[in-house]
Amino acid sequence: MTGVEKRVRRAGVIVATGLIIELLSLIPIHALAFIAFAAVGIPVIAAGVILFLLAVVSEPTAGDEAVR
Amino acid sequence: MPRPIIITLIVLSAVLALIAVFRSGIAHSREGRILAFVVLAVLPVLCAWGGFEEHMDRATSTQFCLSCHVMHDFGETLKYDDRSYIPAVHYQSNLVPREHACYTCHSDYAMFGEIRTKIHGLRHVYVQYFGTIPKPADVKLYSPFPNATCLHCHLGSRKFEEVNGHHKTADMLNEVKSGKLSCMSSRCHDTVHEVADLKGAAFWKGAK
Repeated sequence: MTGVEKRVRRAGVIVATGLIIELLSLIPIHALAFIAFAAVGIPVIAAGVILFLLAVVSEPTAGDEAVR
Repeated sequence: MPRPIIITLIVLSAVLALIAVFRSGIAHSREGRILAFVVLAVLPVLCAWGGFEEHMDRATSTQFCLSCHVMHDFGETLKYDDRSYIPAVHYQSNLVPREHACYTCHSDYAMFGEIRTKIHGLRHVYVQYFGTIPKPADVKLYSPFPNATCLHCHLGSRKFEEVNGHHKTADMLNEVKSGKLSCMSSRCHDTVHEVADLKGAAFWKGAK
């Protein structure tokens, strides 16, 4: 497994975790659910998205290599 | 965004994100990266936005406001079986939507009022979980209750314009409308969320 694959895999796990937290936060109507969403869910999703973007920009694709 | 769509979108995005975990090899090709970008960046951002909207909408519900322990007593005051308590009359007579009773009377209807109300709400949530929670009797409004909130519904209604109590002096109604005389002035409508009266009070049984 290459470096970009590892990072994409990690980003996927983090994004999925964030989405599950968001989903759970939408079950009860409670101030604590909002805290879980805003203080945990959103930062986790954001971290996953940023990690994914960093992974794809840090390593060129096979197509890019061929162009070079 | 309707609630079922948000829920479906979140479930779908989570499943796709997990599929991307097991198919991480797609990141080698340009097309695969575009697909991964949609799954791991576009959809999660859409979900976060939809979830935020949903949470903001829920934050206007009476159930949400009363979910903080300190607000419990204020919720109980809506059930006083006594017409002299203004919030109770509004709540029990459906003069405000019961599901959004707190927000209807405690949101600012002026420009940016909703934003200001939400910021106050965020502060309340912060105090509830990270600050020092005051006793119910010590909870006060940020500023005197504005007439504009009452007038938002009552202005122009026949009862409001013609009732004798609003014509005790020649210019009384104009003073109320201009905000010079508060609706909640002493001996007018000053009996509101009196939490101190809860002990021994009679409650309306019909309220959910």
